[in-house]
Amino acid sequence: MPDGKHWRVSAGVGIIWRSWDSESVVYESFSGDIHSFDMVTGAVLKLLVQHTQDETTLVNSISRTLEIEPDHSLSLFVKQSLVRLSGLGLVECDK
Amino acid sequence: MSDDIRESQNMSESEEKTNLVNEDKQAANVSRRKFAKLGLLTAPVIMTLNSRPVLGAYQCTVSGQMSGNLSNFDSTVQCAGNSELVWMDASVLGPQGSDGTFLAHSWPAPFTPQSIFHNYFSRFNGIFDYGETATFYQVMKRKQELGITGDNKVGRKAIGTLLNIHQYGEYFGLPVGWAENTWNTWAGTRRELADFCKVLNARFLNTPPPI
Repeated sequence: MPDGKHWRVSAGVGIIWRSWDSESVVYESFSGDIHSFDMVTGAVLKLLVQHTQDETTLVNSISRTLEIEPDHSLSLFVKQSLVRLSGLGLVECDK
Repeated sequence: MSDDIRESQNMSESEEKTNLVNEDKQAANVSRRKFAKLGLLTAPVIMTLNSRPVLGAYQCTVSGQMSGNLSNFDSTVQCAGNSELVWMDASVLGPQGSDGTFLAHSWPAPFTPQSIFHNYFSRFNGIFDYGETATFYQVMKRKQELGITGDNKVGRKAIGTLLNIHQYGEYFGLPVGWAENTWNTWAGTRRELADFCKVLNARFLNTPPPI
């Protein structure tokens, strides 16, 4: 279950997007890296680019946007996406 | 209302409810099928492509330096950047006129030592407020010019990063706007930002000064 942490895009991160139906490719200007994301992970990052959000809000927003049932599987997937994005330095937990 | 009519009405209502339930199930099944398709992905799929020198100088970026991937190394690319102390050296500033300006400086346009610091870096996000009219030169020489200490020299170091970005472009490895955006959105401490800028500025210390 989402634990209520707030997440946002890391300071200094600059993203250029290209999106298709099921995946996104982004160029991150600070690191110079190019990343390819699945549909849900791309949606997570896009939502956080707009503003800081907690995990519950992220799950609900993605559920509405992608028309996916907001169940435990989606919550877990979103949490895993946040962990992976955090590991890449793209997002951080708001203290 | 007769019993027959009432009964038929109840049956229609019942059929209608059944139809609605079936429609809901169908809609739910569509959603579930969609996520079931996603469910084949048991974990988020993120692939990081080690980019070729897309901008010609990937090895000058932070990631490029950390990757140590020699297969992408381009020996014709010369990464560059100066310590903030270089940017405030007399050889780079040139002589100071009687009006306090530096007309012969070697700073990259559009910046001059007279540029107003807080026109680029926020005064109000908690990093440091040097005063509305403080110039870049004054911020770099903050103790002598403004009587300020205890700022971790964060303004000086941020200016160094800003000037490096504009002087060396992709060969410093950070995009235009990065210094200002980072200052304006920084959520860590002042010292952390100062140390961060200092480390970035010091990466290519064999760079000749811009004179």
